Amino acid sequence: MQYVENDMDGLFQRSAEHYQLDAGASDWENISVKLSLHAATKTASNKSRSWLTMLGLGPALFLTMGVCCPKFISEVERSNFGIGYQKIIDQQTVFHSLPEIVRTGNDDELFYDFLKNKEEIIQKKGGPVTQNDSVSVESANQFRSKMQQRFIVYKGDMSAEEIQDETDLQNSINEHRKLLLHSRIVVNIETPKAEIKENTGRNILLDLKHPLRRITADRFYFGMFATLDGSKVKSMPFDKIGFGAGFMFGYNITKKFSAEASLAFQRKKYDSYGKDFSLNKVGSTMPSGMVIKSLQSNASVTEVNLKARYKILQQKRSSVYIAAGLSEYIITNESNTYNVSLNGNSETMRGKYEKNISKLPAVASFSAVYQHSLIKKISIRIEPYLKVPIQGIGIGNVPVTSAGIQIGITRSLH
Amino acid sequence: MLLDNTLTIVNGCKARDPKYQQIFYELYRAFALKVVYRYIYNYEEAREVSNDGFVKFFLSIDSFRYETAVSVENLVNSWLRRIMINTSIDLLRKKMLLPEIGGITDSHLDIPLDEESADQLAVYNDMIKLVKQLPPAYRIVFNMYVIDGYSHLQISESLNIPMSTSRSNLSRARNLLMKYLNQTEALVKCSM
Repeated sequence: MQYVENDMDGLFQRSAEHYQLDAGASDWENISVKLSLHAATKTASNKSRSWLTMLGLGPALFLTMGVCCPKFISEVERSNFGIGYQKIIDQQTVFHSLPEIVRTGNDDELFYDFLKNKEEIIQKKGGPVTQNDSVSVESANQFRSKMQQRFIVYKGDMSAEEIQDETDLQNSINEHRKLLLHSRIVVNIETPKAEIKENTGRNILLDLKHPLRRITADRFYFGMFATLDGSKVKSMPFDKIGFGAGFMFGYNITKKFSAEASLAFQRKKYDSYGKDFSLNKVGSTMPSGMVIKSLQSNASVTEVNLKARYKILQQKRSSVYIAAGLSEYIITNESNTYNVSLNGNSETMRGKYEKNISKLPAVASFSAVYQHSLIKKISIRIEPYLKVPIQGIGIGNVPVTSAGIQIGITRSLH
Repeated sequence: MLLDNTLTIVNGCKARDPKYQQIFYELYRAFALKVVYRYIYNYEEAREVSNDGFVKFFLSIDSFRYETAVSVENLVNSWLRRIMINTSIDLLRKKMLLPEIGGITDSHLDIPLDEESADQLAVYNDMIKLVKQLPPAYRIVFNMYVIDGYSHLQISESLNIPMSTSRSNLSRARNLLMKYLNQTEALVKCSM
């Protein structure tokens, strides 16, 4: 070993050059698949870049306008809204509409149409309103004098002004109406809680100022949405982005539960290994001896989704839901690029297929929904989701897992 | 003739022709695996890294430049070696340079029985096994500096470490290897 100490570096250099290592069987198939997938991904990403830009900019612009610039809301909306006031009330609040008392449920938020000089609830969040209680007129008048109200006028430029007296409030509104003309003024009335004892002994809160004439629960809602969707098959990565848009229609069954149906038109893109692609439907049209190594699919999908939502968090204007449901996929057009091995040669083949309906249901969907009330009956929502395959879809019955985000806008119906 | 062949294959790879890519892979896969196996402890992982290195090579071959046909062979060798080393380092970094567990199996270090210089080859294989037993941080620096001819400046830039760390890691690697060699020598004497 003497020479080792003298020339250790040289020994290791010679060892690195001459040592014998079994290179094993060729892994060319694996490399070939990776190369073809990379090439397909690159082409697809170039094509989808412009779509993504459009798809991303559209909702962003819309949301920016909706959230930051209420004055951009359409003239029709504005005229309906006009000069209104928004009243935030707490639990166990009773609306007094002499001679009857109407009680709302918990965590309500009410909006009145003030422009038409008549007061009615045009949106209500929370549970149904009941008319199961009454308070004597004497009791109500007794507390009228004790009521203190604080008015906050939100002007068209979104600055706020606090007014204590009702007469001053009307003057202020008139002044702003002259000055701002079409600008929206929202008056937020915050009423301190005034407790009275009912005959039943329960504590209730009275709002004696604005008699209530009509109450309608906004149980139905509808809306539209856009989605960015990543799809994958088994161990393949989420490396392609699809997109879509659609409509939804929902019904609030209770304060917390709602059911929703949606119809979405999507472009789904996914890669899969040949082993996950069933040849039952297309095997007869392919050359004998051909082996599919991998494929890239690009499919136009109409998705019909039914889901149930449960509200887990409610704040002043925001709420958070969790949702679960089932979807049916109707593939209206499918284009596959196959990387195949035929007689030892690697080749690329393409196939286009028409309508293909998957068996019910195709996927189970799970999502979380953040919903924020913008104005009156209109809300925006952001919904990240995961869709797990129950059955294969497309011509090759491929089990496609999807994840993405849905951005939508909804409006309540009366 | 060999130069012409190499040139044709490289040009075929530049044209993304799968036939030439496969020929190139078959020609160089043993060489690439030998480079990677010095850095990566586990044989199967080394094969994976070598495959990833080939994918990188084929995807980036557009940037491969050569001035004369004579230089192609050497340039391809050194370029592929560099890609394989970088890919190996990437994996080791992902693993936070943590020491590997499990022994090095002899089954992949293959020595043909009829080889005249079988003893010499056995020594070479043993030396590589010693290198692989070094902790990853020392092994990388030793491989890069002693075997692959990188300078301490290049190593420090590649690994994003100070040059002093590179020097000390090399010194510790040498000391450890010397210790391993002395232990081997003692074992041989005992058995005699």
